Amino acid sequence: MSDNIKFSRRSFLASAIAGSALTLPAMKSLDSLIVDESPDIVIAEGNEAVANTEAVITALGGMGKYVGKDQVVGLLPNAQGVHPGCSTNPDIVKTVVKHCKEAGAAKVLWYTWLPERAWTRSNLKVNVEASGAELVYINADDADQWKTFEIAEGKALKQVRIFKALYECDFFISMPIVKDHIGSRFTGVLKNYMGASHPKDNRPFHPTFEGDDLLHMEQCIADLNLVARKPDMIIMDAMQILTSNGPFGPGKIATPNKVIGGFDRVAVDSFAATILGLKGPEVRMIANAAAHGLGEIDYSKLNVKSVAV
Amino acid sequence: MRQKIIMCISILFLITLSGVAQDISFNFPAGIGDWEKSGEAFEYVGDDLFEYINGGAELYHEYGFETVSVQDYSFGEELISVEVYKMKESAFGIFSMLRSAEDQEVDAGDGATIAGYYLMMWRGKHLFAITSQSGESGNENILISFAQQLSENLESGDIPELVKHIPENPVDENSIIYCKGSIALVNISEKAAEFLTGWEEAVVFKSINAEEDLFVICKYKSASAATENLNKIQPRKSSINLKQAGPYLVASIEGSDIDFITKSLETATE
Repeated sequence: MSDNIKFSRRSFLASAIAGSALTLPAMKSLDSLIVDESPDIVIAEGNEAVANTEAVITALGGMGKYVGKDQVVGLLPNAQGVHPGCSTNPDIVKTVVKHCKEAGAAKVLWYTWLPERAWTRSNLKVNVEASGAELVYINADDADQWKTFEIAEGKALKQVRIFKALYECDFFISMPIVKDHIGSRFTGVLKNYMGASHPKDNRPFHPTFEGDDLLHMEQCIADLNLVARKPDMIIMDAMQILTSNGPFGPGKIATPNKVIGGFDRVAVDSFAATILGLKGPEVRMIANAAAHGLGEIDYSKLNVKSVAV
Repeated sequence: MRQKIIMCISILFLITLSGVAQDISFNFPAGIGDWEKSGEAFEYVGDDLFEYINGGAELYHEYGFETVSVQDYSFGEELISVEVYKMKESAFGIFSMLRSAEDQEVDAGDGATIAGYYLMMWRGKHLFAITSQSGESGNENILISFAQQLSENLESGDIPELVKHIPENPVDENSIIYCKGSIALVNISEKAAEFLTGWEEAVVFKSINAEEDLFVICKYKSASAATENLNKIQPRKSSINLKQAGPYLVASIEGSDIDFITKSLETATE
C-alpha cells in the first residue's frame, strides 16, 4: 500500500465521522433557509370576481392546504343589503365554497343573524345554496345559540354575545366587503364581526359621537375582536365597493376590481383602508386593534403578493 | 245553512293561508311606466330601522326617522328599488347629508339629485332613494319619472330656517349640509365635530372663494350657551377661525375669513 493513500480502517471511519459532523449542521442550516414562501396577503386584480378569487386561493397555496377532508367550514360574508357595493359578491362566496368542497370539506356553512328578507330579496340564499353551501340562520331571540364573553381587556366593551356556531366549525373564513361607513369611514374584517355579535349588543356600539365618545364605536370593535374567533382565513371583496353613504347605500361606487386574501385581520384591514384613500393607523378601529396586539398594522412588513389576473 | 257555514269557514281559511300583508304607510303605485311592482312592499318603524340598515340607522335617527317603506319595481330582468323614509320634520337635512356636491340636480320633489344609478329626492317630510340595482347609469330618465310620479301628491316642505341665514354669495349651494346632531358633523369633518359641541342645529358649507376650507354655523339654545362653548374652545382651537353672533358660533375650519357670514347672521336675526 502506498504511503500517500495509507488509510487505516480507523482513520477512514474517523474521517467519515468528521465529514458527517461537518455536513449535518450545514444540511440543517440549509433546511432553515428553506422557508414557506406562501404570502401573508394576496391581492388579485382583474375584471372577474371568480378569476380573482381563484387566483387568491391558488397564491395562498390552495384550499387543500388548509381545509381537511370531512371538515366543516364556516363562512361570514357581509349580506347587509341589495344596493350595489354593499354586500359581499356572491360569486366570490360561491368560488370559496367550490374550493372548500374540492378540498374535501363535508359541509360549508354561511352564518347570518339577518332576517330572511335580507337574504332572499337579493337572491343571495338561492345563489349560496346553488353553490353547495348551507345557510345557517342564527336566531337572535334563541339564547341557546349565543355565548356570552367577558372582555377583561376591553376598554369600551366589557361583555358581548357571539353566536356559538362560529366556534363549532373546523375552519372559519371571514368574507367582508371593503366599503365606506358613516363615522368610521371604513369597514372591513374587524367590523365584519358585528355580523357574529348579537344585534342587541351591537346597538350600543353606536352612541352619538360627541367629544371623547368619538372613539367609542371604534374601540368597541377592537374590543370585540379580543374575544371573537380569529379567522383561519380572510377572503375580502374589493371588486365593486361603496365609497360614500356606507354601510348601506345607495352611494358612490368604485370598482377597484380586487379580491384580497390573508390571515392577519389588522394587516388585511390596514391594506384595504388604502383602497379608500386612508392609512391603517388613521382608522381608529384598526389602530385600536393593533394596540390590543391583534395583528400587524404595517402590512409592508409582511409578505404581500400582487397578482394580475 | 250548513253550506253557508262551510263556505264562510273556507273563505276564512283561504284568507289565513294567503297571509296578511304588512300595512305599509306609503301608497306605492302598482306600476310606473312599463315598470311593475316586484314582490311585496315592506316597512320598518322607529328602532327597527337597525334591522334594515344596521349601523347606518343612527344617522337617520339623528334626523328624526319615523318609517321607511320599500318597494321594488321590475322591467324584464332589471330592478329598481324605491325607499321612502318619513322623517319627523323636513327631510331636507338627511337629503343634504346623503347627496354629493357633484351630483346633478334634477327637477323633482322639493329638491333632487341624480348620481348615475341612484336618485335622491326630498319632498316635505319624505326622503326618497330610488336605485337602479344594476349599479349602472343609463336609467336616469326612468329614475326621474319615478321621482316625479311618487312625489306629486305629497305635501311640499321648507328648508330649515338656519339654512336660509347662509349668505348667497360666495357660498357653493350644492355643498350645504344641514346637521341635527354630531353623527352627521363627524362624518363631514372630525375636526369640526371635535371642537364644536353642545349645539342644537348646525349647517356646513363651502365657499367658492375658499374651496379648501369648510364653514360651519352652529345654533345654540341661547347667546350665553354659545358664549360658554366659545370659551371652552378658544384655548385649543388651533387653526379654526371662530366668532360669535348672538346664539350662533361661526367657524372656518382652516382659518378663512368669516365676516361675510357673521354679517349675514346679524342682518337675518335683526
